[in-house]
Amino acid sequence: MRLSVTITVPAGRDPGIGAGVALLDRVTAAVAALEAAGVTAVVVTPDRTPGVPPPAVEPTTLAGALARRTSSIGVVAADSALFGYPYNTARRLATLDHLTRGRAGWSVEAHPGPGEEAAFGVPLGDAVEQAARAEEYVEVVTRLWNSWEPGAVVPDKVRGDFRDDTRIHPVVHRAAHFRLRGALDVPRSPQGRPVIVWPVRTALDVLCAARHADVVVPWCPLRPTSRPPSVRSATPPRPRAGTRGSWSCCRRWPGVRCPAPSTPAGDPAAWAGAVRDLVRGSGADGATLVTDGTFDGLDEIASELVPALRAAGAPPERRGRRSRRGSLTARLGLAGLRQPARRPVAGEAS
Amino acid sequence: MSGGFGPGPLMHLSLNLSEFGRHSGAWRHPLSDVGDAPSVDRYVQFARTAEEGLFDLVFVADTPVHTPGRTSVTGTRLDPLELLAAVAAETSRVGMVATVSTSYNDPVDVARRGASLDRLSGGRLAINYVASTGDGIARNFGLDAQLPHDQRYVRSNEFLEVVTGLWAGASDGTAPAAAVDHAGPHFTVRGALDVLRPAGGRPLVVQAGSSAEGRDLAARWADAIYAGGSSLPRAQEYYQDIKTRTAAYGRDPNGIKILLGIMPFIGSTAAEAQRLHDDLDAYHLEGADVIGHLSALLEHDLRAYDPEGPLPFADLPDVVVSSSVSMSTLFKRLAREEGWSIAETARRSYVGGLGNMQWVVTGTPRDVADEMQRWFEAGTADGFAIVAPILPQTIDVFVAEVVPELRRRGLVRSAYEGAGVRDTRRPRRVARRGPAGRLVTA
Repeated sequence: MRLSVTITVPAGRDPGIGAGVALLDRVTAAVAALEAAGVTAVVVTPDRTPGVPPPAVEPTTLAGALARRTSSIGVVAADSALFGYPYNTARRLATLDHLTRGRAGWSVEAHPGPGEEAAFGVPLGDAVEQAARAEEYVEVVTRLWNSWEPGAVVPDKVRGDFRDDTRIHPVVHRAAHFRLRGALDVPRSPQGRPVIVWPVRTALDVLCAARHADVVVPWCPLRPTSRPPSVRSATPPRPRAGTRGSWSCCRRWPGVRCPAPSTPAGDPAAWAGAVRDLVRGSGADGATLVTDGTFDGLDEIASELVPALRAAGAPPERRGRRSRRGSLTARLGLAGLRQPARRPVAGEAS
Repeated sequence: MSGGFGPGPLMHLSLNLSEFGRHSGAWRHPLSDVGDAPSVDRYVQFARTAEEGLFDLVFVADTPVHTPGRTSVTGTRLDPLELLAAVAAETSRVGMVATVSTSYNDPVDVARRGASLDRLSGGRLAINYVASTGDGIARNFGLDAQLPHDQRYVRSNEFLEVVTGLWAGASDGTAPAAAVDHAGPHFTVRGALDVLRPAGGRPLVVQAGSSAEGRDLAARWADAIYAGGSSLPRAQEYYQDIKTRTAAYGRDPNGIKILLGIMPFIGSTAAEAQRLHDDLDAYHLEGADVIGHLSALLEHDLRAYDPEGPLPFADLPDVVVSSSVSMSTLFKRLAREEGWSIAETARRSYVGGLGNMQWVVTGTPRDVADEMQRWFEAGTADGFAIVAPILPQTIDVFVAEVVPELRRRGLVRSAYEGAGVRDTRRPRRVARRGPAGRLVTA
């Protein structure tokens, strides 16, 4: 079973947090334990819950710092597919893939956080309009990732060519929400494109994810409750035959809440059995463990919950030498299966 | 001293980080290993060396567009804030400057990421706000052409108002964040920052730019400014002008540090340094269409003219639209003053790249220290931006030999002050002008 762990970095609530480098050291220690325990990826997410202190940091910069402090775990950063510019998103995540040598992923934020519409001054319209915007955003980003062919950077000191510009193709895009004409400025990343993770909450999300995602994460709650994971919500419907997606090569990692540490309700063995049944019963490929956002909660995954899953007959990825190397795509068993991002067609390049 | 304002006793140092060095011939030099480009390891290594040399800052430039051709090859492009997050993870003291385009970013997004990296690095982040030049960039961001020059600076001012407002109102982990309510020509922002306040109150504001609008923007906002100056009197004039403009905004002129670009070609003998310089120029020039390059810079086709004749000044457009105003103005002026032919102007504009905006020193470590001391004591700068022509050679030799020489002369620090940048950044102070940094207090 493949496990990913969602982490947010809490504010002053956690006594483990000091300013600055001490914070990064603390996160590094927690993630290193997850890596050693066989967790496939961490998904760094924001916490935009109103009324509580905001998290100390945002996902993409924390992911960039973790890139140099980890060696095999996947590093997935949540980033908006509604606000900002697709060009910036593409270069940021391609850079993260370079920093991690092919272990990067993008958790697509296709819903606005509380207050984000007003903060960015971008009115989004209804759910259908939002979904259309997010889908177009992701499409532009994936096309930009593909604008450098493999082998476009082959520095030839004798001829004096650092790159082969004939292998770099501008993306020409003009549609309802975005337009753009140009190639990415960051070279093709080690995975070609970072792994696309899509948290799904609605039927519309499922349709979008089916077309673009490598990993779908149904039901992605951020606050701990005592409710057990729901099998129904963990199993998105398969898209109708004839839709554009290639659902078969998409991995499913339902989001499940971790038991609250050190409470009677948080019995690791019972929780592990429920997660095992959920994953097996829904035909999922793994699970996304959602913590309460504290460092204790993160630490407990490596020290208690992974051992409990192993005892319940649902061990994490084998920690052989092969699985510890290579790209996140390969670790997910997706190499060769993923939909290639759309290549520029004749007449499109200017 | 050429005027009323002058630097403090110690010079500040900044290193321009690039993959192979800022000279576009560097990657072809036998010293450069291009085997695994893009190499993040190289950037991290250079930043660590700068930290060993007790530099104030390492700097990452940015122009978010793919430029085909071989005019400017300094390595592969990476996103500055992401790259510096990796640098932050492997350094502990040196400040880091990320370049951010105000024309092609959203201020809410930059406020969020800037606050986050500042906190991750223990208050070591500075942001270099640039307006960005060129229609090619604009097309990556949904426009057919860039905004006019003055509008780009209106947007920069508004951008800075929003990001500093969001940082000033941000939560410190106990009190909730205060919202910004901003409606301007370029941005409508109603909301609060959704990450904690930056560790240092706000990341230092850095600028570059030599136009009148650029100077005013720096005088209003900047804690530090990257300056180019190819002659000592011009650098002195620039220094006084920036400090005067800063005072006119009601600010302490010492609150803006002017970092003058220097491109040092360093060798163990003067001849070896000259050979390095010549070799890099030759690698870059080999096979290049220099007249085509100058035509693009000046926005006028020069191929029809006699390359050995003077520039056709009367035919040239007064104001360039898409190329750099600073660079085109500089070369027209230099060609006129120095009597250069078209071919000579083209060769020089092509070969030096950014080096043309800088003051170039070629010599031994002692020669470089001598020149830096002379320019520093002549009141041209509060410190220097080392625009390394070739990396790691320039920074390795600079830290091993130039820094100790400057230290013997009492011109650079002998230890980082306090326990790190955050000790001198007064993290609780969030006045609109923000905290004074180590840059400001050293």
